[in-house]
Amino acid sequence: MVTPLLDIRDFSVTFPSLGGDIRAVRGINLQLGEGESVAVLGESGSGKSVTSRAILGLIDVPPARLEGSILFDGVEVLGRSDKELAAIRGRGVSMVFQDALDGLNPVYTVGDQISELLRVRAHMSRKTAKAEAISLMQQVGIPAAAQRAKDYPHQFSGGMRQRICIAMAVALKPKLLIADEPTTALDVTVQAEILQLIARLQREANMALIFVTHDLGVAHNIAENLMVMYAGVVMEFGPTNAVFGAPAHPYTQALMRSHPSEATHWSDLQPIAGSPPDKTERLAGCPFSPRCPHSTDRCTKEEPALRRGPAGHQVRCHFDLDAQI
Amino acid sequence: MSNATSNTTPSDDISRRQNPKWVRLRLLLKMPLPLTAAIILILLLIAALFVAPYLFEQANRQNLRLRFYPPFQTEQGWLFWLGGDALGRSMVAELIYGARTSFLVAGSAVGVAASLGFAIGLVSGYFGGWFDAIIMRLADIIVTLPSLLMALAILFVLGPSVFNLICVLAVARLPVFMRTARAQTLSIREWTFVEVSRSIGASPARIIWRDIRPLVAPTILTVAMLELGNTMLAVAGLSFLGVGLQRPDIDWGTMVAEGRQYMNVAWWITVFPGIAILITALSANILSNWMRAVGDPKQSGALVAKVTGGGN
Amino acid sequence: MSAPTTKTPPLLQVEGLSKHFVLRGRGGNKTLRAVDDINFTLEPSETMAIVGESGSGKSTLARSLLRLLEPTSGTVHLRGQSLTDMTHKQLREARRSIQMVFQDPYASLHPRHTVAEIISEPWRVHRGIYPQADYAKQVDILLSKVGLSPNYAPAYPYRLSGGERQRVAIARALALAPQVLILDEPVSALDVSIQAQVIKLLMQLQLDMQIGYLFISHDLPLVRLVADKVAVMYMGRFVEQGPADEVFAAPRHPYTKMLLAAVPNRQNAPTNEPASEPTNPFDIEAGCAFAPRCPMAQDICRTTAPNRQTGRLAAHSFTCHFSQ
Ligand SMILES: Nc1ncnc2c1ncn2[C@@H]1O[C@H](COP(=O)(O)OP(=O)(O)OP(=O)(O)O)[C@@H](O)[C@H]1O
Ligand SMILES: Nc1ncnc2c1ncn2[C@@H]1O[C@H](COP(=O)(O)OP(=O)(O)OP(=O)(O)O)[C@@H](O)[C@H]1O
Ligand code: SF4
Ligand SMILES: [Mg+2]
Ligand SMILES: [Mg+2]
Repeated sequence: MVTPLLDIRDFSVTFPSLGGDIRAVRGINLQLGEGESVAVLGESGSGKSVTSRAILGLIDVPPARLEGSILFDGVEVLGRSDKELAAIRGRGVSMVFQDALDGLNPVYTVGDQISELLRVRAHMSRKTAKAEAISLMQQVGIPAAAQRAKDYPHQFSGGMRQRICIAMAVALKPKLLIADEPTTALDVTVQAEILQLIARLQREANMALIFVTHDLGVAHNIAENLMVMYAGVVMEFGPTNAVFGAPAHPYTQALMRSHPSEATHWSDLQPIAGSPPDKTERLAGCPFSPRCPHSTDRCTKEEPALRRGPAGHQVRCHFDLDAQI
Repeated sequence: MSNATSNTTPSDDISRRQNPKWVRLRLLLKMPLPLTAAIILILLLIAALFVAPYLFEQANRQNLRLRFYPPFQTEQGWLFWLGGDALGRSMVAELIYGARTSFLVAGSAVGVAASLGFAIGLVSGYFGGWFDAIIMRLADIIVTLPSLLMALAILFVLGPSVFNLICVLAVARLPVFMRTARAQTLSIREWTFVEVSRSIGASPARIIWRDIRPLVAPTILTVAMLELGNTMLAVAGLSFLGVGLQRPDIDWGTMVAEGRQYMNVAWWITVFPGIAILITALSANILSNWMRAVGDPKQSGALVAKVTGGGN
Repeated sequence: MSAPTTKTPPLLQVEGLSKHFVLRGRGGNKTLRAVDDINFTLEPSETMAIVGESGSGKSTLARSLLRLLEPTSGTVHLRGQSLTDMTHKQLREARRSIQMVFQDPYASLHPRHTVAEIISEPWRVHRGIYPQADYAKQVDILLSKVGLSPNYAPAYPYRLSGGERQRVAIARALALAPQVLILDEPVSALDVSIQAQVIKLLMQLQLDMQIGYLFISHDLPLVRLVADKVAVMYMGRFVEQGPADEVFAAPRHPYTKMLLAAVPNRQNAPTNEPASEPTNPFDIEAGCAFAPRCPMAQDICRTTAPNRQTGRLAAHSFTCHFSQ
């Protein structure tokens, strides 16, 4: 087998805090080849952003404690110095941050920021970089791009800032693009354009993609694989169609039931009962068991492993449950 | 961290968190460099405040027999461990007494400049408008005037005294703080959380105090610590020109200035006060960096992890 | 208008509100009409949704309404009192009853304040709501309302995930029990389950406290569930406005139709037709602003600005030359 572009093995992240260790990610595995894509769905606080940042080596150690390994293009990312990490990132990972401010500097115009990136990393001349920056802004649908390139980040709307971050992330034609909720602030038409842009890059440049989102519709459309996370672990993993067609994990099922399109009035909305687990506690059994409608004694005592489920894809549950959504 | 800690209850968590002062103190005790810096500064301060008054006489008593008395000799008692100066005065006494004046002059000047500049910078940065325009023009004027020349002229007219010196130095250093505070305020003002505070109904005074001040303060602190050393040297310059401090008021800067002419006969007269300035400035800097890190919740998280063995 | 004087004025009434930005450029200054001539009213217990593409001026509308940005023109009345004429001091007091949840949960929490400090800040600004000794308890109550454990009270924002931050921001906005709540993309950072939970909470609060909501969102399926009224915004203007059921069932403006068709779901694939480029907001040409992208555009659309038309219901209006 050829080595995958990205190989995450038994990866865990723990943040020590005075109130006890916060176990943000607990043993994730993911292999991604060139041109492959995975959408990551999951609860808020389940460790999606932490995992994404870890791939770029952006988690500070200490305070965090990392275990396992993350290989990008055959090179270990964990435990690297900043300089080595910059080299690894230079080999082709970029990220669109959930926090748009993280990616933009408030004191430079957006045009300057994009062209600076192109000049330093793609060694373009000042003039070509400037033209390319404007063209990128156009590609992400910023109207009057040439004029707006001279504006500062705070002069843009929330969605526009997000699009500028996307433009910067794809500017260098990365081998792997990690997009952390890149379209949350975008309306459906612009969102559709961005998704098309990403799909095109995937096709043309054979780019691999990790796409974190809360939008089930977007997840369904953007990626061939789907990963569902809960409390820092992968609950379900498989081809998107298979998971959507026959969600096998009670959490995935409950998540789909809580989607607004399943309701006709707000009072029909079905949030998952109970509250997310406290990440400082060490749970003995299945992390979903306190909220799971199918939970049994076994669930509270024994942690289920990720295994091949009834529909053929990976599920972390003791039982073969029918899709009931 | 051990497993046991993961059983702490929420209330436990809160009560331990609620006392950040103790956490910070514990942190300080575990970090050698800032701890050393803190100890040095505290010792110097004690010397300046409580020891110096008893050494006033010794610091000015001339003893021609002990002119250029070399350091590290024990025959003349501890007052002459660090040698004697050009008129045979005890270097130890002078240094300790000088610490008092140095801290008084440089400390007050920087203190006044920093707090005034901080306040003005916050206000003019937040409100902008004509107030800001006037203030910034004034700052420009102060900066373009050669500060040494200006100080010279003013002190020449007013006559050299500790108070006048402090005033002149404070005015000269004011623009640095004003500009720093204003520049940061300008960018912080645009952040959403400031808008949030406005939307809650907070007054401008409250926004400046609660939202902007804590984010600008660390920078001001760092600049102040840098300026402390600079100001001590500036005093030396003025004394050298005859408008700074005059005997019997001496400070480290003056000592450096006085000793310079004997550099090749008696290096210690210059070097010891020089080292004193250096160590003070350095300690102040280290401590301010540490305070900056501790004040930032994100970085202090890292510090907590470091000292509690978070890296395992 | 000859409304009887005894009738209570609407909770929130916005008339002719505009906000124009002047952007400096090499080719002279250009005016960006971020918000242009907006009119609507909001009653207690009512939810009005504002939908529209990114950059169409929704957040700017919310900000000008609260006078966080000074509007270029127009008036805003809260229970008959003109917010636009108030002194700053009066305005600060009035803000007690009109609160906002901001779009970006990362930028809206102060990095040096703990969650407890953030949520209790409104009570420190407007004294006398709770005794200071009760703050901790009340913070815990609000936290649990938005589905966070009291463990979060001493935490600093840097360690919260996007969804956790947004819930803190919602808790803070609820702290003053406002009459009007502006929600700028309140749930887009949340997973669908917590989304459902927060929406239910908000709607329940509305029932209990008769709050009027201005609900800015891109999520049309969600808007459909919560909104009584919908306004569709395009380049600073409301191009369609009316009762939610009517707008969803019988959209009249081509832009509204386009939005409804583009909702991604588990059935349709992403639209493959090349979506046209959004119009340049500076080209203030004659004609309809939507014409360059409109599939129905005729010559008249490019030359003459359309007037407001009324739909089947009097409350339903749209700005287009054609009625179908
Ligand atoms: N630096 C940190 N220190 C302590 N805890 C942290 C830190 N960063 C993240 N966490 C915690 O780790 C958990 C996972 O956070 P993460 O940001 O990955 O969530 P997420 O899945 O991206 O959620 P969302 O969808 O809301 O963005 C959260 O509970 C968060 O509070
Ligand atoms: N302070 C400002 N200075 C100049 N232009 C601004 C400013 N704030 C907003 N704008 C511009 O006004 C327009 C409307 O922005 P606004 O933030 O209201 O959009 P929005 O509808 O909220 O979009 P999104 O859904 O992306 O948040 C945008 O073109 C934006 O660039
Ligand atoms: S293992 Fe048990 S508790 Fe966990 S999801 Fe399956 S049935 Fe539910
Ligand atoms: Mg996240
Ligand atoms: Mg907005």
